[in-house]
Amino acid sequence: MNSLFDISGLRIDLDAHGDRLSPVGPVDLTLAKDECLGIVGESGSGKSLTLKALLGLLPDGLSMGAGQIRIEKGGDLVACQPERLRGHRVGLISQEPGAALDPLMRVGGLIAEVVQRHAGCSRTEAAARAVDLMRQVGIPDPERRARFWPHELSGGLKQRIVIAMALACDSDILLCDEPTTALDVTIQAQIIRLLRDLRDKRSLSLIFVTHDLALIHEIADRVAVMYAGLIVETGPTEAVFADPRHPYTRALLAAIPDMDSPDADLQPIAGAPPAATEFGEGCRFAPRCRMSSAACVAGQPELEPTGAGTQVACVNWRRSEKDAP
Amino acid sequence: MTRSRYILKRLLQTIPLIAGIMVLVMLLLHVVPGDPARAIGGMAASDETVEQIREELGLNRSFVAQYIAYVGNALQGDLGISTRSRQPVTEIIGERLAPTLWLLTAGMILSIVLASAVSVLAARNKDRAADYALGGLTVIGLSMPAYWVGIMLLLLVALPTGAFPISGFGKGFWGHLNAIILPALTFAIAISPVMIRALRAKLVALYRNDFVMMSRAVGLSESTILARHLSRHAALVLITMVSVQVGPMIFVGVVIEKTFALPGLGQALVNAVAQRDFPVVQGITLTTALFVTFVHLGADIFTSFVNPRTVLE
Ligand SMILES: Nc1ncnc2c1ncn2[C@@H]1O[C@H](COP(=O)(O)OP(=O)(O)OP(=O)(O)O)[C@@H](O)[C@H]1O
Ligand SMILES: [Mg+2]
Repeated sequence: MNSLFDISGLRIDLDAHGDRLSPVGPVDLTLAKDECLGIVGESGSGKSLTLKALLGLLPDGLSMGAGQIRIEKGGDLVACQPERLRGHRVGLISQEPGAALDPLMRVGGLIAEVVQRHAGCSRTEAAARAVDLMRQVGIPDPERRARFWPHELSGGLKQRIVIAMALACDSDILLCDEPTTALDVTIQAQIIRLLRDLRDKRSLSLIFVTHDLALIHEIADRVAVMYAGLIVETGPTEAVFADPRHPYTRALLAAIPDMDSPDADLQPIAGAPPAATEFGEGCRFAPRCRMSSAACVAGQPELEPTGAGTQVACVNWRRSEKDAP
Repeated sequence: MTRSRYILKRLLQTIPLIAGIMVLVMLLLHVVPGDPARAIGGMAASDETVEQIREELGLNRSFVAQYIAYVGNALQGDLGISTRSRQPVTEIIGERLAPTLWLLTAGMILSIVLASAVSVLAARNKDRAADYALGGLTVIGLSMPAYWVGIMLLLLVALPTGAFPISGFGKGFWGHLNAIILPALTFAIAISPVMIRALRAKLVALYRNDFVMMSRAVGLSESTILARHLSRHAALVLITMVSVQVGPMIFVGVVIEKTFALPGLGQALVNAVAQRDFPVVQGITLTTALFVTFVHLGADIFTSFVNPRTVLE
């Protein structure tokens, strides 16, 4: 596989603790050119922190404790500082389009500012290009809307503005942090279509974070399932969905309402994921796992290949659900 | 609602406000216990003199008639005549206005500059030594009375260096500027701590905001984020502070005028009160109230330009 972006051993630490507490990691991720990698997991599993760490945008009190980030440059993968990726190689689309735009600036100005910083062109030229970008992300009547304030736009249009800002950087990698969670279903579908179009037209590679498995199935070529700051299963989307091996992945898939047989019982996962302070020595999913055994609490299992093209971190992955006691 | 309609609405709102202010200014004469004409004339004055004063101030007419006459005259730029110096009140105000305006303007600019610099420094170094040190200085500034700061500056700066006058307003532009530096500094030391508290808290909150993270994500530098984004939010905080604090600021101004013997409106007011020179007291009170009203109005108009959402409400 031709890697474009490669993260290895990424660990995010809480600063203010005597004992080292790491809500995320160590995590390995790799993204190929023109690929869409999906990251899926429950709320609080560390998806957003992982994306933020890739651009050096961790909030106060958290820092990247370990790990290497490498990006393709002239055919080779070279190590780089996350801060250096901002604004040219890697863009970010956040969970909350409403909060991502400065409420005191007109949306055209917000995009133009990025254009100007990136292309170093004049103000008027930047404004013209901003309108052009707004057209490219499917905003109707962009000349007029460029003069709008963020609060005058709907959530979907705000998210398009955020996408336009990311495009203004000419990034080749886009990190999408639940870009549609805050939007209603029809708008959600439009934004996903837009991201797909852009991906094809501009040959963007995406890391797409969500807790919506159906969405992952639709958009991602590969998927990484995250639980309590660790990747517990990863592989081509089809393979993982066809034959999930980790009990957590299975439970997630079982928790999706099935449209074909709406009468079938939903199987929500009992309990809640642990916080960083509650991480034990063993498998972090063991307390909620229906298949847990003595081996599970002995140590955190490493990802290992299953032979079906996927990797799974579970000592019992060979046992099928039926064997569960 | 469009911005122009909002501004028009705000302008129209000030008309009843000013009318109300003038009622209060008129009432000033009547809150003094006893007979105001006697109070002005003094115990030794003859009954004829007191009657004459009553006539002159129109006190023998009804309150409504007095009010209409006062408003009518005020609109023509006539605020009456000082009962002491026989000088027109508008003339006294005209002479005394400059030092006060200089003090308030220079003090305001200095306060805003000082508050901005300290707040940015503290917020950028949140919970580090610099933040704590600046926080400590702010508390010290908050707890020092303005007159004491003024006296300290006179004793420790003006007297030893001889670079600044210890009283008065100087001659010419540079003279005025030189004379206003220490008073303005005193003003800033008194006023900026409150601003620093509000602004630092606002900046700390803003730095946690998603849009700051997004600005960083698209590669904007910290200085650009500060200059192009945070500055607007900070300006709103500052203008609100000025608007809310303008009353206390004028009070601090009066104290500072007294400390530095600046011949401004504050001094004139203090003297006029002591001499029971009611027309002058009324005139200065009216001027101050109008100033406060226009600062509020100006702040609201400024805010409507920076923050589009104010116009909605
Ligand atoms: N600023 C912070 N300080 C300390 N801990 C934090 C901070 N931000 C997040 N965390 C912790 O890190 C963990 C992962 O948070 P993160 O925001 O990455 O979750 P997420 O997977 O994106 O969840 P969601 O689906 O709700 O967005 C959480 O348990 C959270 O409590
Ligand atoms: Mg998140």
